[in-house]
Amino acid sequence: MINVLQSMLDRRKLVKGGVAAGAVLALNPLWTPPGAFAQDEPDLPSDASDMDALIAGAQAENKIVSYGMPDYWANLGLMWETFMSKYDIAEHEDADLSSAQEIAKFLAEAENPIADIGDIGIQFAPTAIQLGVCAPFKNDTWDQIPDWAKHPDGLWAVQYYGNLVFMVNTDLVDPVPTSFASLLEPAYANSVSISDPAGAAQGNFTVFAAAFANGGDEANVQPGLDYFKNLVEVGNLKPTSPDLAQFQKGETVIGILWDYLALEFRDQLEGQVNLEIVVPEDASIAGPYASIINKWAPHPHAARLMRNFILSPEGQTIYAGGYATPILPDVEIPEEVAAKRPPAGAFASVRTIEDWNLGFVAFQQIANDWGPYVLGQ
Amino acid sequence: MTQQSLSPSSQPITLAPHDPITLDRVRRPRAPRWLSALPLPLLPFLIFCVLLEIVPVIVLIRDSLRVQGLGAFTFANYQVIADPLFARALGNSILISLGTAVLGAVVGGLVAAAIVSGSERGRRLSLGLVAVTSNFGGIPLSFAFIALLGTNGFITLLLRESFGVRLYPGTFSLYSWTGLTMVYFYFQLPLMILIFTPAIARLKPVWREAAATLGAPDWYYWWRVGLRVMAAPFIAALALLFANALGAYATAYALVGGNLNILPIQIGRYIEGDLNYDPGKASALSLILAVFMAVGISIAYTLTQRSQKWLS
Amino acid sequence: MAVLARQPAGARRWGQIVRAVLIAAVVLYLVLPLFSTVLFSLATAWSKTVLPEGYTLNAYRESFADPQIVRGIQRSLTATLATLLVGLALVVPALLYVHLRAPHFKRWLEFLAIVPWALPGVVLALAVIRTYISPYNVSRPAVLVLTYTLVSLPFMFRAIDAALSAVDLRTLVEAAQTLGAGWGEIGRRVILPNIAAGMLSASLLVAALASGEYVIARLLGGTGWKTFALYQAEAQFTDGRVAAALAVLGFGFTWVVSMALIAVAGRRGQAGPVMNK
Repeated sequence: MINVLQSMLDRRKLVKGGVAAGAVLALNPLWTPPGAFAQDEPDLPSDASDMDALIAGAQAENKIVSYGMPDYWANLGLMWETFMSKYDIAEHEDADLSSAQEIAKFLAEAENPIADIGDIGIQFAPTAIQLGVCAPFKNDTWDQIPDWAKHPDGLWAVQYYGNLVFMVNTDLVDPVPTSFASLLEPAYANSVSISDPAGAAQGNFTVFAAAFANGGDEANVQPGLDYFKNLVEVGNLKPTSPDLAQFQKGETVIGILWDYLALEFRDQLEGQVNLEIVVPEDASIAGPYASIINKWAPHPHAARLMRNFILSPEGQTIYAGGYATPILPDVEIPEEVAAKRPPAGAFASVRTIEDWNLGFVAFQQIANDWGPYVLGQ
Repeated sequence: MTQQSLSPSSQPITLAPHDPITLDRVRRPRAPRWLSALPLPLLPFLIFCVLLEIVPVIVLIRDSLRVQGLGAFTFANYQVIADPLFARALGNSILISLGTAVLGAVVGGLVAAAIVSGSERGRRLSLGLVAVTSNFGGIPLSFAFIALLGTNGFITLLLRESFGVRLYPGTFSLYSWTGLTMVYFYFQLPLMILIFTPAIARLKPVWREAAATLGAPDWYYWWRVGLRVMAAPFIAALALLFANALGAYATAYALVGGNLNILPIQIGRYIEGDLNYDPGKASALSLILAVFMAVGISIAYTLTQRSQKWLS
Repeated sequence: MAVLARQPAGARRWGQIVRAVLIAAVVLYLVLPLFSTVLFSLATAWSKTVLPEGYTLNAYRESFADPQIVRGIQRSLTATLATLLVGLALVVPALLYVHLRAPHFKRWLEFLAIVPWALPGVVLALAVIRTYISPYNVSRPAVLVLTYTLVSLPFMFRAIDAALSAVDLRTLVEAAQTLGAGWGEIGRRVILPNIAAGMLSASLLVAALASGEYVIARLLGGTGWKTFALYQAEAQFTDGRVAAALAVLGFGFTWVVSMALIAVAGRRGQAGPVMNK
C-alpha cells in the first residue's frame, strides 16, 4: 500500500490524476487525521462475545444513523425494518452518499459526529483505513467470511456483492449477445449502454471486466480500455445509461449492470418489456460492498449490532432477497430468488479483484483515460 | 398603473420642486442620530449577501487552494485546467452556452414581442404555457426528449413507419451536440420570454404613435427606436441565459452521461463521483467557470449602462 | 389604431403570417416534450411502438398513494413559498430605500444581486455545504431555502428594480405626502400597485426555479429532507411512468398557480409591465 501512496505523492501524477479522497491527506505532514489523537473509547466491544451487553447498549441508544444505506438499495428497507423490530430500536436515518463522500463526512464530522455506519465500495476500503475512520468489530460469523473480503483487525468486512451482467431487450435485439467479444458484432450497432466509467463505479467495473475478458488483470487494465475504444470505433457503444426508465422506454436495449439491479428492473418491467439477463461467458466481475463503522459513532453499540445482524444468516438472506449475492458461503437463497437468477453455473466466469493495491490504481487509470483515450475528448 | 391613472395623457407629472430634507424632518419620527444614520432597510439584504455570497465564495477560494479541499496549501488544483480534457470541457461549455443563449434570446425576444402585441387572452394563455415549460428541466426534460427523439422515440418511429425516413443511424442523434443544443434551447426559450416580456411591454406606445404620425414606416420605427431601446434589456437577458446554460448539469448528465465533455459534468464528477471525489479540484474548476461567467456578465453590464437612460 | 391603418395592407398581412408561423413553431416545440411526458405517464407499455400500447391511470394512483411523495410535494411547496417570502422581504425594503432615499447605493446593491449569476448551481451548493453544512450541520431545509433565495436573487432584484425604475417613485411619494397621505396609504396605493407586476414576474421565475430544482436539493437537502424533484428522480429507478406522472402533476400545478397569479395581478388595475399594453 505504501508504495502506491508514495507514487501518488509524485507531484505530476497528483495533478494529472484524480487521487481518491485522503490517500494524499494521510501522508500530508500539515494535516493530522483526527484519529491520531482521538482515542477509541476503551469499553466499546470489538467482537460479538457479549451479545447481551451489545443489545442493551444499542437499546439505550435507541437510534442509528447510516450513510449510503437507503431503503431502496439491495432490500435494505426490509433489512432496517427487521433489525429495528427485532432489537426494538426506535429510529433510523440515512443519507444517500457515494463511498468517497461517506468517508470524507466521517472524517469531517469527527468532532461533531452524526453517522454510525456506512456501506462503501470495496475499492475505498484502503482509503478508509489510511484515514483512520473505522472502528474494529468482528461479528459472530467472522470466520466464515473469505479472507479477501475482510480486514484482519475487523475494520471493514464485505457484506454482499454484485455480479456484472448484460441485460438484453429481446423485443428489439436478436440474437442475445453472450460475451464481451460478441458485442463487437455489427448486429449490435448503436446498442450497448454502460454507466459513466469516469463517474460511476458500475461503469468503471465494466471496463475492468472487459479487461479480464481480453487478457488483462489488476495490474493491466489497458486491454479493457482498448476494447471499449474499439467498441466506440465500430459504432456499437450507445450513449444512454443502463437505467430502468431507459429500458422501460426501449431506448437502452443492451445494458451492462449489476445483477441485483438487472433482476429488480426486470421484475419492475414485467409485462412491459421482455428482458433477458446474461452473465458474459468470457468474463464478469464481482463488485463487493464493505461495511464500515464510524470510529466516532454517536450510537456505537447500535452500529456494531447492525453489522452483526447484516452478517448473520438472517441478514444475508435478506440481502439475497434483494438479489445481492451474500458474502457468507452457505446462506440459504430463497427459492423464488434462485429461480429468477441465471443458473449457478453461469457465474463461473465471475472474477474477483483480490489485490486492491493494484485494483485501486487501475480504477484511477480507467477513470482518467476514459474521456481522452476511449472517447477522444 | 398609477402613473397612468394620475396622468391619462401619459405626460410627465410636473410638481413644484421642494426640498426633500424638509419633508423628511416633518414626517419621520425622531430617532437617535446613530440609528437614523444606519440604512436599516438595507441591513437584511446586506447581511444575507455577506453570509451567503461573500463568506461561501471565500471558503470556495480557500478550498480551491488546498489538497483535496482540506489539506495543505497548493496551487495544483488550478493546474487541472492545463489538462486538455478540462480545457476542452471549458471551451465546449462556453460554445454551447453562448450558442443556445443567442438562439434562445433571438427567438424568445421575437416571441415576447408577438405576445405583447397579441390579444389579452392569447397573452394569458401563452404566459401560462411559458410558466409551465420554464418549470420543466433536468432529468424529466431529458427523458421527455428521449421519448420523442431517441432511437426509439415517438417522432423517430413516426418518421420511420409513416414516411420511411430513418433518423438513426447517421442522419440525427439526440446524444450529440445537436441534441444537447435542442434540449438547452428548450429551457432557454421560456426563460427568455418570461424575462423579456415585461421589458418589451415597457416600450411606450406613444413613441410608436409619434413615429407613425410623422409618417415613419413600422420597420423604421423598430430600427431607430425599438431596437435601440431594447438593446439593454436584451443584452442583460442574453447574459442571464448564458449563465443559465453554463451551469446546467442535471439536464446534460441525464441526456448524455459523460459522453459529451462539458465543465459542469467534470465538476459534478469531483463532487458526486464514485471515483474522483475531490472538493479541492471541484472548487478550482468552479471558480474558473465563475470567472468566465463574471466576464460575460460584466461585458453585458457595461453595454446595458449605455442605453439604460432610454427607459427611465 | 391609426398606426396600423397607415401601413400597406400587404406588408401587414405578411407580418401577421410570419408571426403566426413563429408562434405555431414555438408552441409546437414547447408542447411536444410535454406531450411525450403525458403519453408516457398514461402508458401501459411503450417500448417498441409509435404510440403506447394501452392507457392507464395507474401511475397517478401510485403517486397519490405514496405518502412520501405527498410529503415531498408539501416540502417543495414550503420551500418555494419560503423562498418567495424571504426574497421579497430582503429585496423590497432595500430597493425602496435605495429608490426613495439613497440612489448612490444602487450600484453596490446591483453588484451584490448579480454575483449569484456568476455561480452555477453546483458551485453554489458546494460552497454553501462547505461553509455551513459540513462544519456546523445546521438545518438543511433552512439552508436550502436561503440558497434558493440566493439563486433567485438576480431575478427578484431585476424584476422589482425594473418596476420601480419605470415610475418616478420619489416624485410620486412626495406628491402623495403633499396630499396628506400616511405611509400606510402610500404603501397600499402608490408603492404596491407599482411593484405588483414586478413581484408577479419575479414570483413566476422563483416558483419555476424552486419548485422543480434538483441539483441543489440533492446536494444540500440530502435524504433527510427530500423534495418533490428528488422523489421524481428516484422514481426514474422504480417506474419511469410514475416519474412522468409526477412531472405532469408539476405542470398542472404550475399552470394553476401562474394563471392565478396572472389573474390577481390583472385585477390590480391592469397594473405593471407584464399586463401593460
